[in-house]
Amino acid sequence: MLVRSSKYVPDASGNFVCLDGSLTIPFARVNDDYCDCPDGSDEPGTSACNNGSFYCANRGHIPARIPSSKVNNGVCDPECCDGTDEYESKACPDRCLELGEKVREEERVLALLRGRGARRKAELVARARELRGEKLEELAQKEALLKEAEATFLRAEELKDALEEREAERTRAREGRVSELRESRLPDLVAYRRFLSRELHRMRAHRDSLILLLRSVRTGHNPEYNDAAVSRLIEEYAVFTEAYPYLEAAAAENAAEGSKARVEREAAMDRDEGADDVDFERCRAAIDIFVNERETLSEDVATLSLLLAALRDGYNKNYHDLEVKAAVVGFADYEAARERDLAQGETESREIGIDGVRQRVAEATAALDALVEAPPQADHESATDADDGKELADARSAYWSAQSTKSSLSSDVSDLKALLYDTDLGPHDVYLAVKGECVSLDTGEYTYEVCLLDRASQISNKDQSRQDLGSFAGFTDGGHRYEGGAKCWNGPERSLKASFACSDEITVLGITEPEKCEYIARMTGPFACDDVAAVEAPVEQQPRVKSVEHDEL
Amino acid sequence: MRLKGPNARLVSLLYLAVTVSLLAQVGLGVKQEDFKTSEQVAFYRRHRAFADGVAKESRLLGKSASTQQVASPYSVLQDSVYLDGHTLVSSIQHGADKVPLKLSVSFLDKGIVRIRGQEAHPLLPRFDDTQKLVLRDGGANLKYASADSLQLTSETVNGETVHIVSFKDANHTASLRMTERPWTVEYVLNDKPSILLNSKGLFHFEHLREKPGADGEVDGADGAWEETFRSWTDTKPRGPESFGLDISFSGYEHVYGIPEHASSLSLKSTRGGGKEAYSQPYRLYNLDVFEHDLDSPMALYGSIPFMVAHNAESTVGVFWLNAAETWVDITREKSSTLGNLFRLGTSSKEPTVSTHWISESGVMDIFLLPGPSAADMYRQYADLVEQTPLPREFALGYHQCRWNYLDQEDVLTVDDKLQEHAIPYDVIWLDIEHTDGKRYFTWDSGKFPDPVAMQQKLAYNGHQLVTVVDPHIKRDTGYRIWKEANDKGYFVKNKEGNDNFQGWCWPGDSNWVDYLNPEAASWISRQFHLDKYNGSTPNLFVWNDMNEPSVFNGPEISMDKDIKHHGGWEHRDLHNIFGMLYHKATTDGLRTRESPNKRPFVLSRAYFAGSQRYGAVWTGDNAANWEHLRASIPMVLSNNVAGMHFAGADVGGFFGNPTPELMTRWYQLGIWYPFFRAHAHIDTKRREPWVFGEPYLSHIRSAIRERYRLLPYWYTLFREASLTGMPLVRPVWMEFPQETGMFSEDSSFMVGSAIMVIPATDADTSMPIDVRLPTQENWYDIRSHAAYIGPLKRQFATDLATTLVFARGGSIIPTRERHRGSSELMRRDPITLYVYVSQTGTATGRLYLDDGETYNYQNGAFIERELSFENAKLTSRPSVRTASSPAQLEFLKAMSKVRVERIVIVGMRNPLTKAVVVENGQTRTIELSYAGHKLDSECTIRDPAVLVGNDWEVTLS
Repeated sequence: MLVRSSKYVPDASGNFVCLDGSLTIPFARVNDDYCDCPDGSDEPGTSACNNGSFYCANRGHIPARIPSSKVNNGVCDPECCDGTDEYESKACPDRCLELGEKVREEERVLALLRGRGARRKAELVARARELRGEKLEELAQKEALLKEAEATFLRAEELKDALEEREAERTRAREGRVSELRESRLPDLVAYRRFLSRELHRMRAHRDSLILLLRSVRTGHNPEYNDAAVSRLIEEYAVFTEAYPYLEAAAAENAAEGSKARVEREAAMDRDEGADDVDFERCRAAIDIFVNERETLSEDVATLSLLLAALRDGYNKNYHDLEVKAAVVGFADYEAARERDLAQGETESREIGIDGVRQRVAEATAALDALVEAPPQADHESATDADDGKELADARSAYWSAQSTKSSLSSDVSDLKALLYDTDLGPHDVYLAVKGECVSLDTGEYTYEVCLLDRASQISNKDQSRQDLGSFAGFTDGGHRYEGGAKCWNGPERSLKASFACSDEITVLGITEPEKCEYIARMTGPFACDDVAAVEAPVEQQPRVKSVEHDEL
Repeated sequence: MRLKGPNARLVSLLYLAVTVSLLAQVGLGVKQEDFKTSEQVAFYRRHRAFADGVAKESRLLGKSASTQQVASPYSVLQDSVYLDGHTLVSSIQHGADKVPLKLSVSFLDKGIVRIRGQEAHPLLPRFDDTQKLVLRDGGANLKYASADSLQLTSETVNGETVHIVSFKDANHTASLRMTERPWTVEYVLNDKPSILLNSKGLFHFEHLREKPGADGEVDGADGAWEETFRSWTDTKPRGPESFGLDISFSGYEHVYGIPEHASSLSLKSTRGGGKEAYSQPYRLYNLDVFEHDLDSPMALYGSIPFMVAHNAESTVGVFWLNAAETWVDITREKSSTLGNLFRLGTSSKEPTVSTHWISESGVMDIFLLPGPSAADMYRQYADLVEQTPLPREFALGYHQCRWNYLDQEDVLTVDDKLQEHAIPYDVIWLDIEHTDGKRYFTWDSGKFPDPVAMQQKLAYNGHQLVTVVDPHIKRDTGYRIWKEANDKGYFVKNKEGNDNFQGWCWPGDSNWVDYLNPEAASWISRQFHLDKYNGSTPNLFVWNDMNEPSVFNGPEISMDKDIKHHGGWEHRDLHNIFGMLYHKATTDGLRTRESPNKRPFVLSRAYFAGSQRYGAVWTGDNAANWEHLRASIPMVLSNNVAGMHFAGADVGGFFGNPTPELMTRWYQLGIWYPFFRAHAHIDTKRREPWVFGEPYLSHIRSAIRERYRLLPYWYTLFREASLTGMPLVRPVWMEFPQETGMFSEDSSFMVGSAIMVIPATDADTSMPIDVRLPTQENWYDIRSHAAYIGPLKRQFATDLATTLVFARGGSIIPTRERHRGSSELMRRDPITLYVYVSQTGTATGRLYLDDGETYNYQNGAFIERELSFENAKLTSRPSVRTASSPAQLEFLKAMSKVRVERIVIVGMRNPLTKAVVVENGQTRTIELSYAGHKLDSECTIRDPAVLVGNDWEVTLS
């Protein structure tokens, strides 16, 4: 074979020096299909050196350098479109012109897309700039409003406190031992009621968790396995749901709302119930109701736990029913969470000295009952008492309302500040305009939804049930990480990694789950595009493939 | 607030309390509870009780009398013994029950003795098709000894009659002695009674009988007519029909084989053997055991009732041809009184391994293989069950598997990535998820829209595809396979025999094709043809999983024993060959899908003696931990000892996630399994070689490349196995039969006769490794060529890059050194020969090449060279099997560019300077380089350029 490259010419004594200089060999040993040079440089045209490489000129396309191992191996290497890699069999036609044309056409299409994408990105950046202005303005407004609301709140508080003080004085003056007793023991009652209220929150959450696990087994198990333990669970659970049909819907609704919403809902309940804290009797009535509910709840939790414990101990592990395994693991998680909650309850009990509280409540109740049963005494109170009562009630109502306005504004302000100052929105805030925007892909069994910088979900096309694949956790190499989704039966929390290709549109191209519960999304979006300036620079003059050294033979 | 519903609540809770406690009991220790112990098996219990009775009586007799010490109730009927051609015929009978048994002892070629026994007039026929389905040519063409090589003499010793058949032909001299009262047989080899039958008196044959009246049991035999395990009842309509026999190996301490167990290579005692012994017998019953235990005699996926005994003088074998559930108890005696038992006075003080074999049904059919060398014994065994045929060459490459490569794109990405990382591989695999709802022979069209294009893409780079096709058929009237099989009545039937047997497996409700029905078997074979299996191409091969068979809701995760097969036979009769019959049907289908036929490749999980004819097996569902890594060595070796050569374990461990260190070590060992596949459970992390990054990727890559480098050696080994029946991977004792200290060695092993592998299997990858190089011979590190002189016992330091592999002085190893993407892409690459010089300055080896895929080699289309190095001259001569034929000439032409590009002589003590090559009468002189010193030397002959197909010699000076 003829050697044209300057590196492959015999030296004065007709020898070849290996390119790394390590060895001198007769020139006849270049390309003689035997590897002499440690760096493989004596066989640029054969497969003899495992560390060598072979150069394809690929006229009409981009030249390439392939590992020697691909020379004369019987495969027309796609990188060597001129077919010279298989010179022994001559089985590979030269397809460089055809391929080169195709690749150039693809490049043109891609360049157009990149152009559109870059322009769309510029639009997003512009829109983001606007948005930031709007949001800053909104922030300023809300801050002003908040200031006002705080003043209003202070005034309302003053008024309420003053009236309460007046009321208290009157009460102290007017009421005998009864009211004194009530007044003095009200804090205990309130403490007890609040304690119970917190306990109920936890227990309701426990029941919801159990119901959701059971529901997932019922709807998701593979009936063809006919696992006796699963059938029994479904049968038993049906008895429960028939008796209390609304519980499942409520649990699903509660589960869908997310932890923030839940905290808010519970806080709202607490605020409503807090109205009872001003009066001994109302508080006492509330405690009765709470105790009753607690009893019901603990029975439900026990029943449902037994069902899941039976499943855990009895299911057939050979069947690989993911839903069943998920429930078993979910149950273990639940038990751990319950342990933690119980411990927290214990701590709270200790902190507020719940035994003492309960004791004092019981004493007060008993003492009051005794007093109330005693014959009533005649009383001469002024007629203005009723009006004063209304005034106090109004003041209190105004106070609650001002407090609510203030806290709502305050949370708006901190949300806005977080968005504007503490959130990574990408270069030039490019994501500000699309944050929270959702795109989805239907893959047959499931629809996948990615809400940008927010969260990712998997939605069953069968029953629309939603699996949390994680919340936005940051950027990686231009991609997104969504983490901390619903836990998998075999351990990890579901997560999704999204990578982006440049396009003017935001889409999900494909989703795979190469390992259980770790999802990979291929997406497109303008934020993955170059800036307009870079794209519109003359592309054609610069080959996109890095140049290849010519050691052509 | 909600009101309570106290009544409903209360009832529900009470019901729960009861069921929960029941379930909790069952739920504890599911794994063990799923499978029977010997105590839970009625026929074993009955034989155990019988054996204990005999032992007790023998002890009593031993105390009082000097003559008779075996209390066996079975004796030969007077005057029933005669020699009929090559068979010694006799009738034997239990002293009490008086049901005569016909016993025939046949003499076969090479000194093989076959013993068959059953009732002289059985009430019902016993299942006897096992021999047809297992033996070579269905047993029809066994070569028997000629009548004139046999002579029967009868004599009286101490008042009892002994019949002696002397057997003598050109190569063998042996005799067989049969005593009448009690009936015993001993096979006398080299003047020593070596294999003894009923010397312990444990022979017991439960003859078929009428079912007694309604009150059930007979002879006080428990579980004879009905037996319940957990919720399953075995109705046993035929009653008891089991049999047991003790077989003792006198003069032997070690027995091997009877896979499959996760046990040591040298089998442990199962009774009275102290700390090391098992408390359960070895069990042979093909089962799908979820997360199986290690160091246990529990039954696993395959069963080969073939046992090998070895001592420093000889190697012998026993093949217990029975497909029903079988238990084997093993006991050992250091010094024996057997000499007294037999009134011979010759063999006392010999150590003895006694084995007690018990099978549930069928005919008693036993082969005694006399050896005396391992090679002799494997030729004898191969005479019976055939050799391992030459596999398709790609099957020796690296197999990349996972449950599951998700879709077409995933498959092609893995294909790309392996190439990108320069990791050679031959096959990528698809597990059950590739199908449309576990309907085998179909594709999930969403994930695999164009399987043909995918296979073509793989094939373009020389890669193949394997899809799993399990034996359970989803019960679905819309599924063609199910409907056809159902319409034609091809499914296994229920207990009553009036409807299909139904069970659950991956697809849910399923039926099983009855491969005992030849018509059904050939029907399923046809389903593998290209016109039937949509989306298959000639580059698609098959994996038979779950063929024990695994039935999720059946007893021991398998079929009920009393369900009915073709011909009315019960599943119990053929359980252990069921998987093999499916393996055979699959293999037949792939072989015949192209014309002319091409060699098939089918991997099976279940297996039996004879399965080696149909493809590869693997050790089933192991786990990603160091213990399983270590356990894989004796497991693969035991399969090889038992003739199931093409075997491997899942590299990486199926369950759980391997650490990068474990993964690396597993590849470093896995390249020495005959079948080399990485596999992973669906719940594990991805673990393809590149996942672990550096330095692991480089270590794994170099391990896999080492496999490919040595493919010519491996292929030549398979050629040898296909001719001689010799194992591919061998226990050390097999190559060094007198190395008594290594008879139970199972942490190192030989690959062929030339390579010793001492794998690193410790979690601490810098732990020094004990190396023992046997015999007075040179050993060379196969990579560095550092020389060691045996016998040698020392520790070697290790790190993750180190693998301890030694070439045995005196061997010649052919390799292909060029890195390619797959075995197919190496076919025309030149050969390098490594000559590892022995202490006497010699070496021998062989090189076998053919087209790797057709049967043309049967017409002579191969190159087979005998290589020998002596007096500083390396010679390549054709093997005796090489003969000129049109097919041979055509193959030589195809290989006309394949040369030997390099010869490396390792361990030449004196420096050499030149080589004279003579090829086709032409002489040329070639320079050579000599590096190193004395034994630690390496002499490289640069491009002798001789063709592999030519006669040539190279003389060094």
